[in-house]
Amino acid sequence: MPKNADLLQGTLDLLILRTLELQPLHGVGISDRIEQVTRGVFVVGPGSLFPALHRLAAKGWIEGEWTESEGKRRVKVYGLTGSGRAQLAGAKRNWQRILTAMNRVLAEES
Amino acid sequence: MLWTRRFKTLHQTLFRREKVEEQLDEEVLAYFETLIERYMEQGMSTEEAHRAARIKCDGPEQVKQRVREERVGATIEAIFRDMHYAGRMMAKNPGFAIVTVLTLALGIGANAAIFSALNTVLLRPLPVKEINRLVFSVGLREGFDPFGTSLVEYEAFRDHAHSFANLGIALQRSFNLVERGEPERVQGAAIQSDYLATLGVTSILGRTFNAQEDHTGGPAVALIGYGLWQRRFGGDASLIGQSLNLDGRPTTIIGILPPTFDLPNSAEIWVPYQRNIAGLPLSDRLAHDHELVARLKPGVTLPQTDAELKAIAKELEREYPRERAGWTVRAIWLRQELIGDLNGRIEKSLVMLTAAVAFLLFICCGNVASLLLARGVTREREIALRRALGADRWRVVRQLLTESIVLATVGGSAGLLLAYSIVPVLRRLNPIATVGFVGPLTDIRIDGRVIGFVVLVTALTAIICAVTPVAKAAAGNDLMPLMKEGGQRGIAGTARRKWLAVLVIAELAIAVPLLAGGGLLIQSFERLQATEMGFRPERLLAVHIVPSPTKYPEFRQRAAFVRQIVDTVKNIPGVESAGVTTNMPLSTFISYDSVFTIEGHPPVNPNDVPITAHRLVSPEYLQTLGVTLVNGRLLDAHDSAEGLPVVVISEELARQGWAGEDPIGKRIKRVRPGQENFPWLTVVGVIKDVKEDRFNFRIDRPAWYLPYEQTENAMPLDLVVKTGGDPAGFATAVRAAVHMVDPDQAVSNVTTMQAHVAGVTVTERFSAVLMGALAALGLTLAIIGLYGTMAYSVSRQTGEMGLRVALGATPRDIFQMVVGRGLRLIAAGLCVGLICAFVLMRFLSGALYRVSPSDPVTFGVVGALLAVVALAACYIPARRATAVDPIVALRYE
Repeated sequence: MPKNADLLQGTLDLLILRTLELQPLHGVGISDRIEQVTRGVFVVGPGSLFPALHRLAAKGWIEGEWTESEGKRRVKVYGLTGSGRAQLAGAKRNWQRILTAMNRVLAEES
Repeated sequence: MLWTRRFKTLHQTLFRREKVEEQLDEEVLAYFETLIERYMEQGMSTEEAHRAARIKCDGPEQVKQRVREERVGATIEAIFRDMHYAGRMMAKNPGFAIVTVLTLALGIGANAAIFSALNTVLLRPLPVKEINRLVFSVGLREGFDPFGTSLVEYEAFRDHAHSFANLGIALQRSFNLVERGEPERVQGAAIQSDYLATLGVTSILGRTFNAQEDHTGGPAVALIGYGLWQRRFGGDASLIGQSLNLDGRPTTIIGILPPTFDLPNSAEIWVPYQRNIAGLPLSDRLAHDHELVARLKPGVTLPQTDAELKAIAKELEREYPRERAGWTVRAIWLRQELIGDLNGRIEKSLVMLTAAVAFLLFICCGNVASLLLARGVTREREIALRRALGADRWRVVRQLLTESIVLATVGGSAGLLLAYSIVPVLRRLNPIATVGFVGPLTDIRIDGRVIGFVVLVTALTAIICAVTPVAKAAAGNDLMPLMKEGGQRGIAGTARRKWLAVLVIAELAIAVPLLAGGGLLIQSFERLQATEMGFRPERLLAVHIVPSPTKYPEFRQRAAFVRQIVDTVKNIPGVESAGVTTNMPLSTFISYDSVFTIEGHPPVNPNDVPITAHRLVSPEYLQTLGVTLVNGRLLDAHDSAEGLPVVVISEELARQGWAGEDPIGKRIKRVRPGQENFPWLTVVGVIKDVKEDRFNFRIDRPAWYLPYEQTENAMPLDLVVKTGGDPAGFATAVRAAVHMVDPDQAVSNVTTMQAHVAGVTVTERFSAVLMGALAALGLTLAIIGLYGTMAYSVSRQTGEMGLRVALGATPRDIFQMVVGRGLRLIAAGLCVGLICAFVLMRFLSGALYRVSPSDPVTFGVVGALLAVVALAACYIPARRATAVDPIVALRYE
């Protein structure tokens, strides 16, 4: 299970932003969703998740709001902001470029 | 990222920490609880759910810590925390903190004070444009005081020198001011309009001269200095355009020059030059009586300029072989000229003091480092523990650095306060006898530049003090030995002992040059003080008098005026005698020389022009001055205008003129090109050499003394009065006596001869006093440091000693071991120190008077003194160590 922080540093931000693009979620929701969608390739524990959330919030790309969860517990739900959406769009394009480039290199090798 | 948001988060991190932390707590807690809930829904028991949640994630504290590290301003927060911690460590150990801060305050304060003097004299801008591009030209003749510039030189420079962007000359003059208040002699100058333009000085009120006004027969206009304007005219703006009587000539005041501007030579009134240089007789054009300032063209250096001027002077020597034989010129910085530093001695002294005070700071740093190192032992285990718990090396180093910075900052601030109290002392000691810009160049104070310097020095201090502990902490890679060494019983601790040894050697190596420098300078100053002046300055008062040329146009009248003044002054109760001379010894004014020839001894080489100091004196002057008669008689009242022309000569002149012969009764004559009617003078007396020259104070050169009445002249006068008590108390009476003879006669430069003489050696006194103080301080600090380090080093070996005693070593063995180790360090330190001193002291050679820079006595005494101190520092703890009970020693902690 890759939990390599170096590899995930930029990727994790992108994962979180993409996850929140669909709907606002709280911490557990985010790590659940990432695990589901990547079929368990990425498991994001709180030790990586919370620093990333705070970093993204500090950059103004996501915003946290305290709400009541189903279990009547106060939880902080994060949602994408306008600048977050713009950032995500840029990051997606960037990712596509890298992916295409990487694929080309790898295809050539074989 | 938006800056406003960033600032907001930063603000929250730093100042609203509690709320942020609370929310973080709640958030992380909610996460865990959600997980636990889910696990329980999946059928786990409460305990199992808790366990699973903990396995899945790291502990909540770790999570929170990681979030904290991610935050904006996390670094700042960490620094705050380090500082807070450092403060707590200091508060927990106030003795350590106080000693450290005081030591550093002393070192940094002394540095700030010395730098403020250096800054004032050498660095601070002066009220002219770009002082660093202005040069001054000096006429030089070997063995003589430096001269000004002659007009032939000026013309040659103006027409042929390529180094200068522009240049201008000034001629010192003084004026009797009689209107609006007491008669006053005011220094002034006749200046070219280019002179002010070269300096880049403009008027603050009215205007300055223009080129059209600066020609023969131009309008009578004058500029007034700000100080004079305030003092005599109450800052009255309507003075502009008004007419003042300047030496009998009605003159229109056209402008006021800015505060503190007083070039040349403390001038307060300036009139246009208005002389037709080409039309002047050659003897006038050859006289070295002008002051030339020039601004270098961009990119031109001083050595280039100097070489060019010297080449031009060579040309002039070809053109006027007789008159300019032996003459050359030298270009110096204007600043150098202003602080009277032709030979660079003042600059050297200040640089040397700066170096000495830096050495003192190094000793302070050494002491603090050894304290930190000693304390480091107790902290070593703490640091090891912190490392073991996961603090990385950088984190520990940062903590140690922060502590050092906090200590240095507190010490530096205290040092700055200390400097504020030292600076007035420096101002009183006054390092220079300046001839211009007296205000700005003697106003030693702490300005922005000094504060910047203190910040720099403090940072440097912090780094130096931190070097050893940090190096130790960083090198302590293996935690195990550190933890184990906790027992301190073994022969371990070698790393620490190595650092202590380095500190002992460094302290000694630094102390030796500091003490040697202090010793040499103090001796040099003492020898300078003991120099035979050739006269007795005690109880002498001197005043400067310039008889008005309009009031006393005839020499006969001036001679009568001098007689009257001397008689009246002698009648003051308490005055023992009085006399008048054209230049008192060590004069700061232009002093007069003349060329002489000996009857029957024509110069062997026609280019050889012998020169003597030229003094015209009233009958009782030489007695009043207290010269020592070697042979013959002094001048007396019989040597009148009608009498036989006579002269009293100095021993040096006798030696040059009549080596091996008795000069009494022989004849000597003054020579001046184009003027052949000087009478032969009969030598009637020989006196011991009087120190007549201010700059060539260190050598003897010929002087002769002619009866004032026998030599027609229009020179300004110095009146010297021998009093029965404190001469300063007679100033008013002497002034009143002069005013009794002529109520309009200005009296200036009233001074006691002792103060006047002391003024010659100000720089030497300044450096001797300060170097002495620094050396004494350095010695004290070095003693404290050496004793502390040695005693500590020995105490570190207590465990080892106990072990050795237990294994059968005698107290004698122990003593020998401890002292032997100490001796090796002392020998090494002294060797390094003596070599450093030997190299560094060569730099002093120009500043020393009759002391060799490698004076073996000084070196020997300094070496022996430090050896004794260091031995005592090692002996006392060694003594104690031998008395140690092995059981106690082994348990020693």
